This record gives sequence, structure tokens and C-alpha cells, in this order.
Amino acid sequence: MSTLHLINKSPFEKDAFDSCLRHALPGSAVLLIEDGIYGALRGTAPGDCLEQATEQQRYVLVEDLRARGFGPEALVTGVQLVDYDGFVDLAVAHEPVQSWL
Amino acid sequence: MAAANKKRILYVQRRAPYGTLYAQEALEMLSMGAAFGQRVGIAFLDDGVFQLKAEQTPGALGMKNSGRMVRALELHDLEGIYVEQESLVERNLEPGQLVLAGKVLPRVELSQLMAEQDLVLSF
Repeated sequence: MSTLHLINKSPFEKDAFDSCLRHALPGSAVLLIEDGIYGALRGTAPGDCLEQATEQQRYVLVEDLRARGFGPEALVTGVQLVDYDGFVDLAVAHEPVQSWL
Repeated sequence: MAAANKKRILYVQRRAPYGTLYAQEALEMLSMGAAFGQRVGIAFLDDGVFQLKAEQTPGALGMKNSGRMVRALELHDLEGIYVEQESLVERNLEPGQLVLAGKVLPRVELSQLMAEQDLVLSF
């Protein structure tokens, strides 16, 4: 099974997002949660990096996106939305789960 | 209290809402402190500008809506509500997407504003 990478910190404040994208292997999955969702915003430097990470599956937790006032139209292309149930499915389908705190 | 005796206090909001409690705690502190007759202002920069994003719906997180808390700032007699232009641009936010119309300042002017305060409280 491939790795599920979890990012919960803003890419504008911490380097977890950058380091994760530097280390995530092709075929792994990256899920942005909590303040990590800011890494998927269109028209930003982190968003551009995420858009170019086409060898990874990229996900955003929709509850955390909505809480912060954004919707799918604000995201770069190639990113899939998941809800809490989808989060569980991803956690079951991947191993290990690596949290980039 | 005479204006000359009033201290200039600036709250500097640098954190995104919800991931931590810094934003909400600082906004609550300001709401209480603004009643004590000082010259209080607030500046939003770096990830703090995300506190201003319209349409926040944190109900699922069980947390206070920071957008609403920011709007309540307009009820206080604040010196000013300032927003750093570069921070908005880096995050692809337009002034029209914010819950209130603060004074948008370039970084160089905000730096000057912070330097002119008696007290800067950074969160």
C-alpha cells in the first residue's frame, strides 16, 4: 500500500507543506486538512506547487475548506474533495499514514 | 481621559483562524480592552488576512466564527482596521471577498504604523 500524507498547517506559515511535497513518492496520496487547505488555493505559490504534483493523488477535506470560507471554485485543478467519511476511506486504503506536523 | 494620555495599542493578527485559537482569543481580548479608553487599532497581515474571508461556516468544527467576530469590531470605536496588501495578494484574496472594508496598506506603510505604537500585541 502507498502512503497517505496529512498536512494540517498553513503553507504560508510552516514548511510542512513544502517538505511533504518534496518527499511524497509517486502514487502516494496527499490530504490537506485544517489550515493545510490553504495550500490548495488557486493563484498562490503553494497552489501552483500542488497543481504540479501530478504524480500524487491530492485531496482536500471539504468541511475544513467550507469552515474557512472557501469552496471548490477557489482550488487549483487536479484536487479532489473528500468529506470525513472519505477521510476514513483514505486512511483505510493507505499505509502508513504520515502526519506532517 | 485626554487624548494625549491615551496609549496607542495595535493588535497584530498574523494567524489563520480555526487551526489554532490565537485569532479568536485575540479578538475577544480586544473586545474587552477596547472599552478601557485607549487608542486601539488592529492590523491583519500574513495568514491573519484569512480571518477576514467572507462566508466562513465553522459550525462543523464547533468553533466561533472569526468572520463574525471581526465584523463585530466595527461596533467598537477603533483607531483603524488595517489590512496588508501584500498578504492579500500572496493569498489571492481580493478586498471584495472580505467581511469588512478595512484600510488596505502596503507593507512599508504597515511597518511604519507598527513602529509608531506605544504597544504592539502580536498574535
